[in-house]
Amino acid sequence: MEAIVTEGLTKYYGKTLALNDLNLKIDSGHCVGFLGPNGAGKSTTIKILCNLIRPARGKAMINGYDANAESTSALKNVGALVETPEFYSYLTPVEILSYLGKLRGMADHGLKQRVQRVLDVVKLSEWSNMKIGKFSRGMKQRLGIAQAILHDPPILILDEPALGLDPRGTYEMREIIKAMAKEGKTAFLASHMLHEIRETCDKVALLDKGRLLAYDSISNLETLFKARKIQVDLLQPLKPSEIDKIRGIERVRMVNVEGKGLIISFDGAEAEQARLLATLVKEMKVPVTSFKPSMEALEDIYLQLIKEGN
Amino acid sequence: MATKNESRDVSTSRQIIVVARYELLKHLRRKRLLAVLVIAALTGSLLIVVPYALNVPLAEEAKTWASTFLSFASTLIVIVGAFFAGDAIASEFEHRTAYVLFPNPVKRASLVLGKFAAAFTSALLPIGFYYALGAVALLSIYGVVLWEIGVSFLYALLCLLCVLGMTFLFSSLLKSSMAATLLSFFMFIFILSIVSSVITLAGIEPWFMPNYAAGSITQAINPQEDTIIQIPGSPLKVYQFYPKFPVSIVVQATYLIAGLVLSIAIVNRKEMT
Repeated sequence: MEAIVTEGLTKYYGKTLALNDLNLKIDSGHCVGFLGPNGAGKSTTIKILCNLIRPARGKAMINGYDANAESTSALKNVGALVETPEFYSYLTPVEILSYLGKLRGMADHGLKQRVQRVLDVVKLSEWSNMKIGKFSRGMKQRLGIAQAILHDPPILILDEPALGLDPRGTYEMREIIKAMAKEGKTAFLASHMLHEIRETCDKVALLDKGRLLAYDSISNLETLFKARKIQVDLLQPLKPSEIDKIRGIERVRMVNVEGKGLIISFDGAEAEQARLLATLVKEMKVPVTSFKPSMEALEDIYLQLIKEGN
Repeated sequence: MATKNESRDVSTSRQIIVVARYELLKHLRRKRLLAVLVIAALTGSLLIVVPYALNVPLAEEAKTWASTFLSFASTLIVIVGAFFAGDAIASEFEHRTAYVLFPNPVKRASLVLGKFAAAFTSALLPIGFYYALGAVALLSIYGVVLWEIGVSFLYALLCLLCVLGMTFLFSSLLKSSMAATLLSFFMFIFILSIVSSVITLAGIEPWFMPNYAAGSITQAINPQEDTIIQIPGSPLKVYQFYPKFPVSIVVQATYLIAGLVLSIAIVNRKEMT
């Protein structure tokens, strides 16, 4: 079943076209990254989904409900974090979460426990009774995540969730999304951070100037754009002759040295990647300590698509 | 993590009550409530004490004294209404708290009505206090408590609802809480008063003006008749009109309903860009 669908979604701000005929279908249980430069239309899409703005044309559906015409039904199963959240400065985290929980009809006895639980998850328990007016931006962001997951929603819509978070906060936020994805929940995650998308999402939608440039699994996009890259960490640096040998392996397109390791670009999908690694380790006896998909691949696709779009 | 969605269907009336409760908390925690209570206490005390201090003879009739004392009630209502309702809607957009509040399964009309209920309840406190002060003073000075004070209080509540309705409209229209608060204050204290005076000068009763209708607060205690005074040796006439009860009720109720309905319609259409 499709959790989120947009059909011909179009939005203007004055005369500026912010969103141009966006068609997107997100199946339940998938974590989809929404990538694009500033002004691409990511926040506009998320705002339409959360009924904060209305489209000029088209419609956005959540669980089959029109996000604008049937917003209460559509938003019932959604936890959302839109832009940098601001809260009532005179309330404490416990009070604001209780307020939002009660608005959603959460029962009193369960709500108290749930509030404490989510404050634990976002590491705000220590400040649970402090007025939000005294909070830093990062703490407000954590609270924003807490209110988004408060009712344990099957659909998460997050706009730049790592904004203002310290590295530990970013990591913890990623773990929350991963945990929710493991539980079969749907996540729609707008971000500038390719690393964040790569780590948490199985599919990616690339947007620029309001147009959808690509929407597929990261793996398929890498294959499609011949942008598959792996980062190979080595025990010790290789000699130039050894690197040349690697360049000679079938389907390898480029080898770049990065510190002690290598970034290898190659044509093909996961099977080719497995064969390449086997060749390196078994046949060439390259001292590989670890390997992982390179962030550069997604970055290449991102930049290539935006360049083509322009 | 919990394993199932914790949300349950919740009725609109329940949501209005929840919004009203947390809005009340806002009013109680801010200094505005204290400020208007101080204004009510200070003004009431001055109206009671100053005549004694200056040896000004008091009105012979309790009704006349009560009418003078309660003539400040409509000003207090405007201050209280502007204070409690001016930022009710505008601040959600201005301070971007709507980004957290609106993506919840709650109708925006419920949010407006909950906030309205909270503003009305909060405003009752200083107004009720002012009336209580007047009743106590009346009892101590004249040894009576007029039943008309109760009627006047009911008109004061209607006036308060009318002011809140209009202030909610301004708060929905404007982007700034301060602008909405000031507009409401100046509208009722100055602009509408000037317009009413100009209409009266032309010899037309301004029955349709909300500030004129608010005159029923004192009219309920000490009813006055319309008068037309011909200035000797001049074709000019001075008109003095007083609100009539059924009309003033309908006029204030109309402003309340129109203000609130328009406010809800605007909030429903308003975008968080």
